[in-house]
Amino acid sequence: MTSATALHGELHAGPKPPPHGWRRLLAPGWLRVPWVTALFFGIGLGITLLVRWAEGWHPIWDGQVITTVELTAAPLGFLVGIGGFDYWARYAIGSPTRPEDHSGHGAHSWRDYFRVNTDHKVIGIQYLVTTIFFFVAAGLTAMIMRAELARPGMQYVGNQVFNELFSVHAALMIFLFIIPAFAGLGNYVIPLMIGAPDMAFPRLNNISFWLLPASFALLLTSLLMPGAPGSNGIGTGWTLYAPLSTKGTPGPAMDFAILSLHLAGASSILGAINFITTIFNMRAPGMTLHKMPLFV
Amino acid sequence: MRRGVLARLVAVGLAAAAVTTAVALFVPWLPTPASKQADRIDFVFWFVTGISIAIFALVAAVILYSVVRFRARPDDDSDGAPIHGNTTLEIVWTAVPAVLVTAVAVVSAVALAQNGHVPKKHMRVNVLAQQFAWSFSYPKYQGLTVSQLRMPIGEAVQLKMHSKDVIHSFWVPEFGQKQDLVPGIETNVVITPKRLGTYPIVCTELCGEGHALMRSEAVVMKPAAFAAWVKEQETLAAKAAQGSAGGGPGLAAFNNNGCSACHTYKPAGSTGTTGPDLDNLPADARRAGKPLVAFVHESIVDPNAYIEKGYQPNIMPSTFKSLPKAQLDALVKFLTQGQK
Repeated sequence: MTSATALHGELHAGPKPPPHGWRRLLAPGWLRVPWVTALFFGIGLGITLLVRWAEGWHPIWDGQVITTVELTAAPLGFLVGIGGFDYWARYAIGSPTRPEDHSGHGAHSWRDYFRVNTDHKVIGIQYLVTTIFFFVAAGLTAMIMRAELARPGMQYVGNQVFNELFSVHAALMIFLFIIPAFAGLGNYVIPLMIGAPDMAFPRLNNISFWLLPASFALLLTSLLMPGAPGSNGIGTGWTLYAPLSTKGTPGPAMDFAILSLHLAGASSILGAINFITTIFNMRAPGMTLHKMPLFV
Repeated sequence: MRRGVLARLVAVGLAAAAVTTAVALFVPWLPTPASKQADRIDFVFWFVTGISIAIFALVAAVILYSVVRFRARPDDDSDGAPIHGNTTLEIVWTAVPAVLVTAVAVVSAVALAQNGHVPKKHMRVNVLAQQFAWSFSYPKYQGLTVSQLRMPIGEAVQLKMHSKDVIHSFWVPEFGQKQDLVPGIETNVVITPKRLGTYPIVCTELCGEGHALMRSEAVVMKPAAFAAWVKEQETLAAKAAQGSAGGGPGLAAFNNNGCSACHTYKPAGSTGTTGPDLDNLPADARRAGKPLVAFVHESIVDPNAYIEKGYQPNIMPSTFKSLPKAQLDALVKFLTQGQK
């Protein structure tokens, strides 16, 4: 081993052998997701209870407050568990960062599409496949509606369930299909079309993708939560007009739906920042704004 | 040569215009207008459609002509002519749409302003929307309150609209106007009916579980028939006030809270069919296994406690439990004593 590689080794931890046994629980990925999500759930719960206890707010155990806090804490735990923040965490605590040159990019097996990845093509494919899955899910709710409407009168679902179906259908189609599908397409082709090696913020790109499954999970869970009196889910249409969405839907279903939209919104804002930065700063030499491909 | 080109362009354009005009004329896109306001909206609609047809014909003519005349022959590998810029053309294709858009804006603004104008001689009707019923009251006739909107033909009616709970929207397709009813503010619509008939009133803002059932009717009547109807309603109210049903406050509570919109009840002269027929209350109470008075009271404050066969829970709002006690008692009395 020459001194140069030794020095290099001190600055960057080299590619480690895959962890074995219980250490696999510590590596970023789906094994780490359940316990880190649970941990963040516990932290959220603890902070809420502690603050309510310290401030003397009674009851200390308030389901509605806890739900709201957990709807932020648990998705964050999911992102941490899947490994979205690993690079920054290592950097922040001063441990050696992992090299992120392009040799470490890309997918080597189908499993890599279910892990964190910073390659714009992998993320583009993750985006597109996931949004097509959301599209099919939203399409199935539409199928139930058409089945119900095939004949006059009531067949399969009641009035309120029907309202919930088209609300979730619309929210899925707009916030989890149309918007992220374009982000996926852009992720795949824009760096290629403007001659950039990757997106400007690859790790941010990765996080904006992994926000989507969390958003989908919350929106689907909202269907099972109490919403309007005597029913589950949100029956307010995707526009969520108050006061039907406030006074008219006292249950936690609305909280789930709104936090779901927050996550989807955060995802598209982070994606947009990434695109703008990439397009403005990473074009090939000589490609002025007016010489860009029309698609970009 | 030049004349031949122009003639072909005009021919293709006229053909395109003929097809689109046929689509516009022979498909019944809009209901036949039943009010003066709807006439103005129809006029704006046709004004915009006419402009659209002209623009479409122009674009279609140029595209079709170019596709045929300038298409690449199989053995033609040459580049197109290096044409760049035509200032006159650019000024024209910017100025013409600007003029057209301005014209559409002016025509729309005039039509909207005229539709919002309240003539001096008009009748006022207060509209109250709530989950999931409409009620209409006529201040001119001592606050006569009914669940159908009745109007004499030719007289302007100003609807002053309020919502009790969430956002609703008042829509009669034949009147051409939609107006939201937002809790906390008063909104207005002016209707001058000009065609006799019965038209559907539809709530067109998703307002909850029973939104699809939130319908009523607008009836345009001859002035004489309208006067007769008012008289009949007033006698009915007077009779109810003296009759066995106790009338008075009970009937007022029945009408003011929108019960008449969904329920048929002979003593109140209502004919709604969204909810169960209240003339059969004693039989319903027997099925529910409760004494009549207790059953009626419970069904108002907690509608889901007993659901009559063929109806669904949660359609009747549970907000009536907050009625003042005097009103609630009067309502129960009205409903129990009106039974035969």
